[in-house]
Amino acid sequence: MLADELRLASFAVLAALALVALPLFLHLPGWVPLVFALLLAWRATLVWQRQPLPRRLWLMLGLLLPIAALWLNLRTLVGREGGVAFLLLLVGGKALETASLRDWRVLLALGFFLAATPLLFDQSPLSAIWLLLSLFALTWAMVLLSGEDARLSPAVTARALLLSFPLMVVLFVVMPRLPGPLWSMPTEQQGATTGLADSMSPGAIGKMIPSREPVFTAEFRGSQPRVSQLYWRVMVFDQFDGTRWTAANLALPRGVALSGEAQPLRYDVVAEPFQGYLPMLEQGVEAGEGVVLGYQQKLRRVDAANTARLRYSVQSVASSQYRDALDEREQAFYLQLPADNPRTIQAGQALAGRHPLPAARLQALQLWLAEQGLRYTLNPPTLAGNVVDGFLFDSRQGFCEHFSSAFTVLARAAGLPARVVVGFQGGEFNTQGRFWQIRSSDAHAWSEVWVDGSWRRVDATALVAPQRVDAGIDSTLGEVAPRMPLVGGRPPGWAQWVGQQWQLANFSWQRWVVGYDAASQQKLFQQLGLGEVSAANVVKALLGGMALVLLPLAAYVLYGRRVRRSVAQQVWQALGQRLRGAGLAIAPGDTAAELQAHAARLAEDDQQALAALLQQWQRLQYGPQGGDDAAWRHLWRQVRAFRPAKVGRQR
Amino acid sequence: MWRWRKALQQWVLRHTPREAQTRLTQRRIYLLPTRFGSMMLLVALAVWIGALNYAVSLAYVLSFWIVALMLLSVLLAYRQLAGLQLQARAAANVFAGDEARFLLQLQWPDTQPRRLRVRWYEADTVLAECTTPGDYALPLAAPYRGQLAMPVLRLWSEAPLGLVRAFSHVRLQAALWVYPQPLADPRELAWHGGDGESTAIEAGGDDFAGLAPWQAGQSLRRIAWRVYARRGSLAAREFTSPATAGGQPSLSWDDYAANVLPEQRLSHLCWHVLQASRAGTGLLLRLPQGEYCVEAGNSEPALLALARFGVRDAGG
Repeated sequence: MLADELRLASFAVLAALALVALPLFLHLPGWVPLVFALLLAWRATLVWQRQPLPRRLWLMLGLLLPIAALWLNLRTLVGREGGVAFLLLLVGGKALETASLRDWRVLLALGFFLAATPLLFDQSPLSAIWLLLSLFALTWAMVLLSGEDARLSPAVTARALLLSFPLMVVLFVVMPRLPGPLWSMPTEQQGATTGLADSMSPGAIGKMIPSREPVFTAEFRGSQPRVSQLYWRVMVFDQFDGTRWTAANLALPRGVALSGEAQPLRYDVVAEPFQGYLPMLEQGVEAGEGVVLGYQQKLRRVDAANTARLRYSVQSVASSQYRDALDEREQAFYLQLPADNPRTIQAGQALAGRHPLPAARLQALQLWLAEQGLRYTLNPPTLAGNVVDGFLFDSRQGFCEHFSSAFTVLARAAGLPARVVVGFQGGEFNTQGRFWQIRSSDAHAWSEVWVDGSWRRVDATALVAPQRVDAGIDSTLGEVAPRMPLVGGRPPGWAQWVGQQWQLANFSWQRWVVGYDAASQQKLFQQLGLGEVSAANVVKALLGGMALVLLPLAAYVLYGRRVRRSVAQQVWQALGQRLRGAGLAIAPGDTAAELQAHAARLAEDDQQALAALLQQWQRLQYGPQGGDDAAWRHLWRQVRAFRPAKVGRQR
Repeated sequence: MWRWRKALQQWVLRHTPREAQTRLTQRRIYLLPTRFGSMMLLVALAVWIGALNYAVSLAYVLSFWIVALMLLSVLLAYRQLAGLQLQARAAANVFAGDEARFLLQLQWPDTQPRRLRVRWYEADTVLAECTTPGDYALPLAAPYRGQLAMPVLRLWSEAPLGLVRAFSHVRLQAALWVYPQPLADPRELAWHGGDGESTAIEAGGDDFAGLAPWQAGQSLRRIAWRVYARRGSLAAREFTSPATAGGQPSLSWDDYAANVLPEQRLSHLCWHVLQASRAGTGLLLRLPQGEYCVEAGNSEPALLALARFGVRDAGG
């Protein structure tokens, strides 16, 4: 390769690397990608000015500085953030010792590896688009490095990527997925997730800003549930210190027993774990692959440390209660109350005195709460000190956190074991995709009270604002409903349609691309009639899929374009067709002399015209200067205009 | 490793038949990943393991796309060589020590540009980068006199991505003659009549006849300086020219002393043939296998005879 071509190719490699690493600005400490970009820029300048590379020793010593800074910053050089940042610095250093073609190719290969790193942080459609861009840039650099003409190279690149796309799809679908990771990753400090926090302090936040951000999706097989049945259980808070509810995270072995056998709902959920727990419809009876149903009816991943989005299937019976045998110690645990909130405790104890039977007591508690004149709002005044007393007897305004907290305290005071359940309630049904979209604003909290050997759900919010449960939060509060940006008011029909389409696209993306895992693969294999995902079946599917894609591809690559190119043959065939149209028996392989022999039966004029055409064809095909495109096109027009009279008719 | 390589080379050389012309088909085209291709496969594997471990679907996409590019490269690289027609064109003879230039005619059935390279199988220098059909001159050093057959050719292409290399080995039927390397020789030529007998010789010609004591007044250019260096006395070189029109100088293999090595003799003879052809004097070259007449500007038959001297399979 000429030195100048290598120069162009090396610029392409450096540009591709810069493009690939750009999204890392969002996920790493900003200075790391910046150092990387500077190293690339330095290398580009050296290439531009045709200057020699820096001494390797100095380079290595110089790299130690940012690596030490990285250690100080992140305290690790492995794991997701540390590993990626470390790799980025090393690749930047490698860029400064590339001289030969082989070096540049090593750097390019590293660039391909680097393109995978932003995906560890984000798998949205936007990342996919960026991946496409990165792939194009990298492949283009590859094409240039292999010595392709610079002007042709973008087309060559696009063609290579397009033609290899179907092959990639086959591999993506067929190559087996593992249900769990190969080795456990070092746990990372999880960033702030939307929706659910690890504790609940009613009254601490004055204004709740509802967010319509999608959180997870659920797809039911068979019958769809009613909105009022959609209680998505995630976490259980069972410890109260007077102001704040937390989870004790007891881990007792407990099976699930449901009173009455109803038809279970089967459904698949795509969700990220919230504080390690996954949403599941109350009451779960069976957890699918990759998830386990544990104590307090909480669902979690098998590999608990993994915080990645997951697709899983669950079976639930839509019921507001489930049987559970609590021993003395557990009952005492669920009755613990601090000495705060004396008025609430007093009210609870008074009710307990009047209603000795637990079931009747629970009824009375609900009735009492409903009579307190409470109001549902997302903008309650902030509370301090005895927050439950403040809510129940003074401000009387609040949202689900206030209601569930107050009712649970009340129940405990009345001698009924109780706890707070946090999750989501409701969801929006996407009619096009036939799935449920649950948003951040659907987050909800309710109480669970243990009466007569089973846990019963009490949604205290619903006692006051029943439409919150029946129709979802949107109908309860005007301000949460979707609004047109700037203009305000409800969006027109088409905007809703566009919104639903966008949701559907996102859902399909989550389902078929991001959430395509061992379970979905299993399902797809069964739908395709391939049976289990076993080695033999994978090989079968791989061979079948590859044959399906490779054969047309090979035909196109090896033969497709050749046939289309030969203008001479096309003109020849057209001429043969004209003669056949005139009633002559022309074979496809006939030579010019044979054609003329056949044409002896034609009229005199036609014979002369044919002779002229044949002569011209031969001149263009075999002549010393050959025929250019214009000449061939001219001949083709003449051939099409040539309409010899039918031979048969003359007889 | 080295021995394996050597053995493989020997095997290739043995199993490449010599053919007048050939068309490359799938039987002749081999495909292997390049070093870069293997590296990319390793990258795909690493990304795949990462995808497996972190359950990142898009990383699977990246990994499998790299593999797909490899698979596609197999087809594209194969296409670069498939259907290629090779034929050797007549190449000019050369003198030993010069560079022979074999002519390779490349043709392919479609009009699309291709990108392939040619080198001799046993040397690493790229001889030609072929993008269009046509004739390509392939230089080859010709150090020794005799017949030089076209060595095994290696044609290969890594286009368009450099991931997979398609290659093929071809041995074309083409040979050229390597004349002896001309070596200057001060020997005077003997003159012959048309019928081969010695005739009277006139003094003062161009041809060296012998030595005589140098006398003052004679040209300095006639002094035989070698003799002076050896003996210390000045001698003048006597020249003659052919006396009759029918006569011409002749030179025989046997004119040289027995201790002059054959190759050296041939080199001297070659020099004389060239001189005679250039000067237009003509020359009768007597070799053990026959006599060759060198006329002005036509030294070909004599040079060929010199090139063939002692070559057993000189049929081609």
